[in-house]
Amino acid sequence: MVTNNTPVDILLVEDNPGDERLTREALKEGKVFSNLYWVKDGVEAMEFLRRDGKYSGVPRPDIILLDLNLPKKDGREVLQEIKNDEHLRRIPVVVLTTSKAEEDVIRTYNLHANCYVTKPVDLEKFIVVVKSIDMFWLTVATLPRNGH
Amino acid sequence: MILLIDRATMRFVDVNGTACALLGYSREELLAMGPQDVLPTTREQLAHSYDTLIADPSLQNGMHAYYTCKDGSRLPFESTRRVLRSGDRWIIVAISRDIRRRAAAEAALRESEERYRRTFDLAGSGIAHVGLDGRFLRVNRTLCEVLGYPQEELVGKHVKEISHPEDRDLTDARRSRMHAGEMESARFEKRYLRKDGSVVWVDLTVALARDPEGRPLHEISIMEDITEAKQAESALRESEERWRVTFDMAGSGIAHVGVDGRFLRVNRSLCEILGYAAEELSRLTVKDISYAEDRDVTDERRARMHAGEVDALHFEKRYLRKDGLTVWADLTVSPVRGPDGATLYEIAIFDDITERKEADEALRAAHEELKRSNAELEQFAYVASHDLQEPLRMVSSYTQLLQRRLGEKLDDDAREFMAYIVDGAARMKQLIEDLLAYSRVGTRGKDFKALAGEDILRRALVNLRAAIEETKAEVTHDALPTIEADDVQIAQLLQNLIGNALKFRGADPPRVHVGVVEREGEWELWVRDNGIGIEPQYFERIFMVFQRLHNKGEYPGTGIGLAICKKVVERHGGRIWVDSRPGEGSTFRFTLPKARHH
Repeated sequence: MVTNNTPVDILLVEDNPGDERLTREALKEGKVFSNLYWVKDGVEAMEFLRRDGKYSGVPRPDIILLDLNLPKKDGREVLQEIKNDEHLRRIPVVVLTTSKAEEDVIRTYNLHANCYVTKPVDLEKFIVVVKSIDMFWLTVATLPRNGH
Repeated sequence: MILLIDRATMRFVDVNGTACALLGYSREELLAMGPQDVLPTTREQLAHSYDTLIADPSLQNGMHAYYTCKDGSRLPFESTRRVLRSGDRWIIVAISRDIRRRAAAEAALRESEERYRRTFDLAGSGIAHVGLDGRFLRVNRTLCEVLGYPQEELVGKHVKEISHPEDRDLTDARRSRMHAGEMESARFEKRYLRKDGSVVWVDLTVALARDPEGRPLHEISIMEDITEAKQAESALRESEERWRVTFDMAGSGIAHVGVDGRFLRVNRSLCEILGYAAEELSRLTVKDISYAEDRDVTDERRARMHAGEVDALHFEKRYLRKDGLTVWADLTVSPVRGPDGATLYEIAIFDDITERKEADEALRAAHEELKRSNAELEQFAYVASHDLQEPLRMVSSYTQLLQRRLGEKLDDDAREFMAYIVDGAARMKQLIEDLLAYSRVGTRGKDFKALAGEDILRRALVNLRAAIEETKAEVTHDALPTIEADDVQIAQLLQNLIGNALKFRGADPPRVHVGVVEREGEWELWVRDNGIGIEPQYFERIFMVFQRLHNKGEYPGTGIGLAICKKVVERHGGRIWVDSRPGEGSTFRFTLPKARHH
C-alpha cells in the first residue's frame, strides 16, 4: 500500500448523490487519503475549476472524476473546456462511464481524457478502481506539478 | 345454162349460149364433148347416176359440183337434172345455175369459222359454250387447263358439278335475268373445283348466243384464272385483319401519334387506360393529357429519336385520365420512317403500371417505416439498457457496502438474501450489456473496409487466449481471404463462434477449425468443433435473442452470442446456419458477399 502524507484533492463531477456517496465510501474502504469535492453539474464544475464566486477559496484538484451525463453542461463539454484551457489541461481527468458504449462515444469526440473507467456494479471492483485512481495520481504526481 | 346429154353416147347434144359463155367453149366445141369432160367425175360414175335417174324419174335429182372451164378455172354450180325420152334415146336435161357468188360467201364463212375456231382453241382465256341445260358443249384448251380436266371429260359435264359447293348457285339469279333478256352479259368471281380437288378462282363473264329470231342457243362463258390474285388479296386482307385485331385487342394501349403529338389512331386498351373515347383522343395531343410535371420530360429524347440517333424510347411517365386520376404508364415509342428517313408517325405502346408504381411506393414506404422503427427500437434498446444500469449499480453496490459494514452482525439468512440480490443484479447487468451489444450491431456498426481475414481471426483468438489455455484447445484454420467487412463485428462473430466451441466442449480437449471455401460472389466460412453438438430441432432457435438450451449451472451465458452473430452476418448481407449432431460436434457456417453493392 502506497501511503501519502498529503491528501489527494479529488473533484467529483456527478449528479447522482448515490454515486457521490458510493465514491466517498469506496475511498474510505480503499483507505485512500483524500479530500473529495463534489459538484453536481458541468456549469458548477467549471466555476469550481476557475474558482469563480463561492469557489474562490477552493484548491486546484489533483484529479477530476467526470461523469458524462450531467445537467446544464454535459461531461463532453466540460472535458473540452478543460482541455482547451492551458491552466487546467494538465489536470488528469478520469471519465466515469456507465457502459463501454459511452467510452466509444467519447473517443469518437476525440477529447483526450486521460482515463476511462466504467462504473462497476460490483463494489469490490469499484474499490479497486478508486485505489487505482490513487495509484494513478501518485504516478502523475511524480511528474513536475506545473509541467514546465 | 342448160345442157342436154345423150345417155347412150355420153355427149352433149345441145347447149345454150349461157353455157358456152360460162364454160368458155364454143357451141361446136361443147357438142364434141361430154359431161365427164367438164365435171370432176368419171364417165362411169356419171352414167350410173343417169341410169338411176332414168330408172326412177321422180327423183328430183340435184347436184352441187363444179365445172372445169376451158381456161382451167372452176365454176361452181347447182343443177337440177331431168330425163326426157326422145325415141329410143334418153336425154338428160341439166339446168345449172352459176353459184360462184354463193360459194365465195360460203368460203368466207368457212374461213371465218376456222378463224373463230382457232381463236376459240388458242385463246389465253378459258372459253366454253354451255348449253341451256347447263352442260358444257364446247370447251377450249385453256379452259381445260384452268379447270384441270381433259376436254372429253369436261364436255357433257354440268357446270354445277364442278362448281365449288359454296358458289354453286351464285350465278343462278343473274343468268335467269340474262336469259329473260334483261341483261346482255353477267360477270362473276366464283370458285370451281379442279379434277384434283384444288380450288380455282375464276373471273367469269357469261353472255348468251341467240338465233336470228332471238331465241337463246347457248351461253358463252369466258373464264380467267384469278386464283393467284385472289390468294394475294386474301393474304393481304388476312394480314391486315390480323394487325387490326392485334391493335384492337392488345392488352397494351397502342397509339399512332403524329409528329405534332396528335393521336392519329388509338386502340381500345388505350382508351380504357386514359379514360377517353377514341374520338376524344383524336382531338388531343399527348401533352394535353400528360401529368404537368412529366409533360416535357421526354422532349429531348424524342428529338434525338426523330433525328435517327436512337431507334426507340422506353420510359415511365404519368398521364392524367379524363376523370382527373393520375395513371402511371410504361411506354415504348418507336418511329415509322418514310423513304427519306423522316418520321411519319410514332407508334407508342402504353402499359398501365399504376398499380405496380403504387405497390412500389407502398413497399418503399413500408421499408422506410420498418427501417425507421428498427432504428428507433435499437436506439430504445440502447438508451434503455444504458439507463437501466444506473439504478442496478445502486442496488448492487449498496448491498455490498452493507455486507462489508454489517458483515459480522448479519445472520446467515440475511447474508444469503443479500447474496441473491447481488447475484441478481450482476446477471441483470450482463443481460443489459448483452442487449446493448446486440443493439449496437445495427446502430454502432462501422463502414466496411477490405480486411485480411487472418488479422481478424488473430484478434478474436487474442481475446480468447485465457479460455484456449484453460481448455487446452487446439484451434486451426485455413488460409483466410481478404474480405470487405466491419472488422470489429467480424472479430466479434469469430470470437463468439470459437468461444462457443470452447464453452460447449465435450470430454476431450476442444479441437476447433476455421475453414473457408470460395463460392460464386461470396465466401463461405465455418467454425467446426468436436463439442457436445445440438439437436436438429434447435437449429433455428439458437440464433434468437436470449434463447438458451442449457441451464446456467451447466453453461453460463445470456443466450445473446449467436443472435449477435446472426445480426452481424445479416448486416454484411450473408447467411448463417448450423450443421450438428449431438455428441459429434457442430459446424457453424456463414457467408460473406465478396463485394457489397451499395
